[in-house]
Amino acid sequence: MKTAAASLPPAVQPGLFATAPATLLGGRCEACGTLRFPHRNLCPRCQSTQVAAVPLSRHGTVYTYTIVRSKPPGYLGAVPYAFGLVELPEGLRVASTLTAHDLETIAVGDKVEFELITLGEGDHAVLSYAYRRREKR
Amino acid sequence: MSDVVLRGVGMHPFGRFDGKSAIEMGCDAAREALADAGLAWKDIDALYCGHMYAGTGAGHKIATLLGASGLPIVNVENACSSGGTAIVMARHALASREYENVLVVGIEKMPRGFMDMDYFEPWRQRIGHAVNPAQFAFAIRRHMHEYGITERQLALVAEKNHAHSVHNDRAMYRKPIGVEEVLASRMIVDPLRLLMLCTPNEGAAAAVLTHRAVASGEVRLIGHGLKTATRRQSIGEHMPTDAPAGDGVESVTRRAAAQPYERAGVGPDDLDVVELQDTDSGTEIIATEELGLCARGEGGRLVESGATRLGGRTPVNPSGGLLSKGEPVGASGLGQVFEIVNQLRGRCGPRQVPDARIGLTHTLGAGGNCCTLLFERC
Repeated sequence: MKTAAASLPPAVQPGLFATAPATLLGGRCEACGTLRFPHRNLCPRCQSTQVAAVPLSRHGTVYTYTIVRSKPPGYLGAVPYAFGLVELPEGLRVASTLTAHDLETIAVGDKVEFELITLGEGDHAVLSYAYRRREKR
Repeated sequence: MSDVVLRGVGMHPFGRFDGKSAIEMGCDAAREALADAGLAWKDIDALYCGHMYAGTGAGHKIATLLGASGLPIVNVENACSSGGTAIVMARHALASREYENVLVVGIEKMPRGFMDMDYFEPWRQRIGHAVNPAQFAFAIRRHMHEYGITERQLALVAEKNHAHSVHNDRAMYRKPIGVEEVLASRMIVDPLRLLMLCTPNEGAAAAVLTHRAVASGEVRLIGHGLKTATRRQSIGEHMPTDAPAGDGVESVTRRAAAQPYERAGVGPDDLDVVELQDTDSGTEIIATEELGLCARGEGGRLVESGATRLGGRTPVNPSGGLLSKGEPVGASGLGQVFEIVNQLRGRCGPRQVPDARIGLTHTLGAGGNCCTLLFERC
């Protein structure tokens, strides 16, 4: 799992994230303000269809996580990898891949920062997203 | 007064049965339930069949084997709660006097390893976010952080359920497994190890329900709950991509248990025996709390105290649970019903809970489905 270089592979799914600057894209309901991820043109709280795509915070904390050690069906990347829920300051928790110098040291409450990652090799490579654990000093 | 009486139950063992179809296993379980009920196939007014992987018309194929009699057939897919949901639907139909005798069957034949589920969008599969047990791991990791549940307590759940399974000849695994062995098993999704997770497998179970006045010694269904998770639950089997931050959200298990408790006037302290969704050790610890067997955060200490072991205050998963039986998803809910009905009828031999009178089943599955069923021996 490498940080994406200058020439980017195709996004695994359109609309999940922006590349410049790199952020997740959520949906903010223009009627009631509810945030969701990923963006959809339907508010899950008031069912308004006026929902704007908005960048989500690049910084958050690990709410919970796991390390997946066997390759699940359809997964393009390498194992082990960390996967968790990141709590963002705007009051949303999002499911995200987690990256770190040493996955084994990830803990609940760790501070994380958004990044784009490449999964898979060559023609099968796709661009995806992660929150990287900020290394403790 | 009329009741929904659990007149007969049957179960094909859970395990691996190469060369035998889910339909054939369902047929075996149905025939055992009919014999137990003292009824013939021709006496059945409707068939409900719970399954997830069996394809089009699974219940219809079971009826064809038994001899197509023209009865109404409903196939029910509600993931791990398919069997429980089929019982709820049968209860409604019986209470409305549509039918007198109903057969409910749950069947499954699953691939090995991580479940490959079409529940997830393809992009979630491709980036590794479509992993069922990761959701169990999320829940117990957060719970460990908040309440200090220990890995040893997680291992104790597996040790307890495997100790129970020694007496259940329909379980896939029937050997005692020690705490140290559980803690030495391979890590799959931290903090859950191989022996803390149930095995997807194959099997079937069935029940015959009749609408009539219950007789002394018979078991009746006195309550049910069927709920799904809400958007506010950031962790759960609805496998959300997001949720609002904030705590104090009522879990789907708590809400699904509140309904039968309130309507039947029964509390968790009244339960003599419980079969609950131990897809993994963490889910059992959290479910014991959410069903009200102990306070929130006390689930680790509860299993440690022995209260949920055979011989304890409220034995949980005396069958060995899914950790020992394996989880054929469409059949697992009816497997729980098979155990609870037999416990309440005093038929469980060495794993019998003495004088069990009130029992509860609990299933929890993909989509955030939770189903509880409350039974009483009269």
